[in-house]
Amino acid sequence: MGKRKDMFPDDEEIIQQIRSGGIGRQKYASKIYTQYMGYVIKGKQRYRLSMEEAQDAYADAVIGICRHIEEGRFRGESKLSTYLFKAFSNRCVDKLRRRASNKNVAWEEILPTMPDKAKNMIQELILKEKTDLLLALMDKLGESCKKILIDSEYYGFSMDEIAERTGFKNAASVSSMKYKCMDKLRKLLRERNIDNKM
Amino acid sequence: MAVNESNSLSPERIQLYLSGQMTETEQSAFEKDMEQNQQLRDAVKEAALATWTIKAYAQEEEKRQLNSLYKEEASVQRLNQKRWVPIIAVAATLLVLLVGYFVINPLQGPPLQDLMATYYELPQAPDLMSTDVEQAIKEADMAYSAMEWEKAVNLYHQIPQDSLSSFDQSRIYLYQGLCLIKLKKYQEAENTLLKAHQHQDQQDWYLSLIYLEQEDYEKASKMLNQIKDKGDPYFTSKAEKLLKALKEQ
Repeated sequence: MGKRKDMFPDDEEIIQQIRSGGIGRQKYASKIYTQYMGYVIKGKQRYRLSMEEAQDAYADAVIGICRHIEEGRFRGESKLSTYLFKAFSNRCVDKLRRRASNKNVAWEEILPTMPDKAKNMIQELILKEKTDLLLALMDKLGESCKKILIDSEYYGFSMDEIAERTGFKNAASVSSMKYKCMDKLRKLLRERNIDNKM
Repeated sequence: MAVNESNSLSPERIQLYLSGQMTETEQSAFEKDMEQNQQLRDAVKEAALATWTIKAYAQEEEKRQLNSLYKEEASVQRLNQKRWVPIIAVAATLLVLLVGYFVINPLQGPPLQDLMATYYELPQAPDLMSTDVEQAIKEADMAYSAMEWEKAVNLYHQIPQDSLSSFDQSRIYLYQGLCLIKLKKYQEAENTLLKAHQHQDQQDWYLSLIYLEQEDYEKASKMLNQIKDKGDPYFTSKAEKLLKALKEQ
């Protein structure tokens, strides 16, 4: 039973681990993904999507669920499997709608907690700019910067944890490096004149 | 809320606003400031776009990782489905295969050595770095991308370590080690990989493959179990599959 529980953690454990951020967030996103992978075929058949579209919709749904858990929008009121299937179905319908537009990143979902005014300020910039080009700027940061920014901003690793993962002396040096990396990214964005396009 | 000029542009305050952690009163005061202060507006726009870029990039990367899990799981499932082929057909096929195998490879064990080749996949060359200090790294990375292993090893070797951060040093050792594996210089590869302290997951994974290739299955299994314990989802999944494959031999 213990082994089975380890392979298929219950909803409570998943929610707790995702909320804790860092390695728990990373590991349990994969666990959710593999646990309900059968949905991909269901979605493919039901919505007549290509395999790639169904997989993409499923990955989007899993990441979306993780975000909902992190933000406290999903607290386990319904079963995770039901919630995920509903989210996945919505993503499949989105895929059908977006087929023509070929947009991979739904920009508005990335920053759910950002105030509306700030969202409006960057909405036009993101829509005007090819998102691929924006994302390519991250590759120009170098591996350590990219890792620090992603670990801290996306996965929610603490500065101490990042120090341990990246081999920095301590949390303070990671903080200072993060500041420099953020600055470097802003400069790259500025160089592309992105903020002058409005 | 009266805020002086320098305070209003503080990155912490902007971050607080963007993360939605301000109270309603603070938020409306901040937005009022923004209406009157073009500089603040620009700073907020820039910070918001930077945050969006990081999160969108990370999300795409996570999606790619998750989808690679699908491909791996699907291939395992396909293998499992084959177990339902009628027993006689399976037995007959196995018999033919076994007889055939032992005729071709008398007294040799099952193809444990093939496991290394099956599981060894080259990661893409790292992104080229933007600063000019790294010209030497660029050349080495390009040789790696072109699969010119000998040349890449030499070029990585010539990179002056003093000018690099410890993370980049570790990365150089990792790729140098991978080239040495391709050159079948396993002892050298092991020694080099052991210096890639900051790429532990990759280090452990490729070390386990070296041990496997050297038929040190005990050491390989130990290393694979270590990977599992660390919990990196990508390498854990690979390690679990390889352990399973080892047990089935």
